[in-house]
Amino acid sequence: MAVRCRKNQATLTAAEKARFVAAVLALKANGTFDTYVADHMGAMPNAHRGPAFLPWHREFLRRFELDLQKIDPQVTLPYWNWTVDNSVTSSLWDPSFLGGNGRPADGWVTTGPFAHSTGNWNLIHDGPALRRRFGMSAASLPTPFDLNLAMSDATYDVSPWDRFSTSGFRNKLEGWINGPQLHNLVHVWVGGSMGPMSSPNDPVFFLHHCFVDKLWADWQRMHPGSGYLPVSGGPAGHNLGNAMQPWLGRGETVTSASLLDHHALGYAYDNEGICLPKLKFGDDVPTRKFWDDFPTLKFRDDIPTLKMFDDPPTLKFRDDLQTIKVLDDQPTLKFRDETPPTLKFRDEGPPKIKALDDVGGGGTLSKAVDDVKIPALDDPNLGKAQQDLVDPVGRFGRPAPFVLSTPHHSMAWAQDQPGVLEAAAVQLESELTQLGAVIAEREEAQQQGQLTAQEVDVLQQLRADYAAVMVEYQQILGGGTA
Amino acid sequence: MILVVSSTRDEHAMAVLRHLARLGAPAELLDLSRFPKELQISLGSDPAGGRDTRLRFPDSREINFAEVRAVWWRRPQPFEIDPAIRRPGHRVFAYNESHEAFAGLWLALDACWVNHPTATETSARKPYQLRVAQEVGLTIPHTLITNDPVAARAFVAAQPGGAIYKAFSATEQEWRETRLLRPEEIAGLDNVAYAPVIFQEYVPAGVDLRITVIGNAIFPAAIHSQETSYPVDFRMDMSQARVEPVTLPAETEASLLRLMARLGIVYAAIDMRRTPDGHYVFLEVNPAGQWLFIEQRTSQPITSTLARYLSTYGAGEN
Repeated sequence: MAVRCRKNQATLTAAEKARFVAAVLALKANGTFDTYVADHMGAMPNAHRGPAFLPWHREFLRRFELDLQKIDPQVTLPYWNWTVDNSVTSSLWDPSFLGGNGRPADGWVTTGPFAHSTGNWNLIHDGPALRRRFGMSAASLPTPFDLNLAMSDATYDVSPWDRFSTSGFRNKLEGWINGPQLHNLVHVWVGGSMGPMSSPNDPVFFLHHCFVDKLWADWQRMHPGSGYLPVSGGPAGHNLGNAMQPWLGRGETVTSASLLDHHALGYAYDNEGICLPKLKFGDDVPTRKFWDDFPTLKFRDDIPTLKMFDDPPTLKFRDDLQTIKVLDDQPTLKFRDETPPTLKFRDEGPPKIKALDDVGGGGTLSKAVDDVKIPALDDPNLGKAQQDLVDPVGRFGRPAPFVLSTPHHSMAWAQDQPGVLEAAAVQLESELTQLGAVIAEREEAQQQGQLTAQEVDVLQQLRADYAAVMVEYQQILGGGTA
Repeated sequence: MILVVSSTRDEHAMAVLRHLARLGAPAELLDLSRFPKELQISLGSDPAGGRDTRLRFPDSREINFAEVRAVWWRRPQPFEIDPAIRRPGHRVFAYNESHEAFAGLWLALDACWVNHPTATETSARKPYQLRVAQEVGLTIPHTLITNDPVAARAFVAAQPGGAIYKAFSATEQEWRETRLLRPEEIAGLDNVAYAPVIFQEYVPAGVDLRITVIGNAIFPAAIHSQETSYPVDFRMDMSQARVEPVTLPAETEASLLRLMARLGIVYAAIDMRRTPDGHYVFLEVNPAGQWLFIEQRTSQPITSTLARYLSTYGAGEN
């Protein structure tokens, strides 16, 4: 199975949006779409208010996506980053895509392909028309800061493993703590049809949950030592190996354990360095830069100090060695060699694999993700790592130059400099990929008891680095919170 | 002829080259990243005092450096060593040797420079700029450059109006805006131990001034940064900033020209700030600064002035 790329809806071309809409309308017309609405309505105990919230919806979305691809093999689920595209005028709501807010009187959506008047979008449950009430029950969508509170929690979930869990990534993301937050808040903010259990009636449900799924994937990469919880002792259907409804009732065994590696399911997200076409940002290179300090060719670079002497061979040799290090930067090269990229989703042919390896260590990413399945919960340093991660500034307490250790105060310039911003994102992705791979390798070594105390400290530091780079990365993706 | 050491990707270089063509001034673009793979340099000296320095392009065209009367040193590109050379040590060697040949060529060249490479480098040094600016009569902010956390904390605490901090360089790789130090960041000041940081008293702005100087021509522009989303650093939100041409007090203009002379440069983009009570404070000088983002908004004839400057000095015969 080839891995397919799920993209940010804001980056889709008009043609990609049109194909997505057409495929959704086709599923509606052939009756498939409403089976998803019905499945979601019947899935309260299994799919919500507990640890299985994320894997259940991963499976639900994947099935929906495969059904879309039966209509149009080119279509993938787009995701909606509601921390960025957070206004009633975001292009998401254009008439050419999902249509806009509902009309004041009754909330009926009257624009776009899902308006009742089109005759294509009659609701069987909670009908007859799609309704939206932007901002009526919640003033605003979640912010990157809100999101970071969840992303920085290194524990997947905690007892009692339900909506009363007072910490843990899952319940923070689902949004029950001081709720509604994050996932729940988005349902509330959109309002109308997105409120009840029939919320898949609104196609934005799938873009919303696709982002939630991406956040889970990001979190897994960010916390390679943290696994799914609980293995046992949770509510029925929510333990790692429990089969989930409604699929069990149809003779299919789908467990959380089978859903942890989204690459194995055949898709990836556009921030993972796997979706190569997305990484080419040459198209909209900014035209007006005003960086005055950019690194030019220095006139006095590399002035040899021993002008008067013939260069002693030893000195020269030593210089060369140092430069090799600088140029090649290869603590990871060895690792990469040891881990041949043999993963199942990489059956797209040798040229692609070559290219993957060229993207800043992308070839090792899969390794980091695989290791997510092995929780290193016995790591005595994990608690401290968590402290670093919840540090709202993110980079204090670790060795980094001061100016780089503090978050940006303004990202306003980025709006004029999309190329630069995207280049920075690519660079950070590459750093995250490499760091994730190194962390995964060392955690494996640690589990086998191969790390010295000093190396454990280094591992600790690497985790803090990873969290800090992720903070910066999120800030860049957020495009402007300071 | 006029030599522009830059690249086709530099839109400032391309804008000036277009103007030079309009003026009919002979000009050549030299992109050093094409060296040594595509370009061939020969520097000949004979005992009788003759010198023959030529650069040949792949199409056999040549630059005879004896004819080069003016050089615009506009963000030259690093050399690109032939990828056929694979050993890192060999690549560094080839780079350094290329650098040596050209660095010597530039020093040996009799030409009018905008700006000379040596002056470009020295004038960009921030502590040096501050000293010279002060000596020519400009007001500078109270400044501390340090990697001592204790000294940094003391300095910050002593600034009643707050302190800003900034990096020496803001590159696209590690871009950092100038920032007003936030209370929650004081805890992190221990990290200045890892690299020096520039701390300055916060100078309240009436307006920010970007002053482009070419020879004796001064183009001051007021950037109304206080109306933007990020008043601390006007570069952050240029798209929202109102920009307009302004005039400077005669004494400030005179100081700026003395500054240029002392730094040995003829082109500069200078950042200053006019405080709400009308004082002019020098912030920094950028010997290779940008101007198109100013010219677009103010219509000040900066590109054409630079082109004329180059053609005046560069078009003459030997």
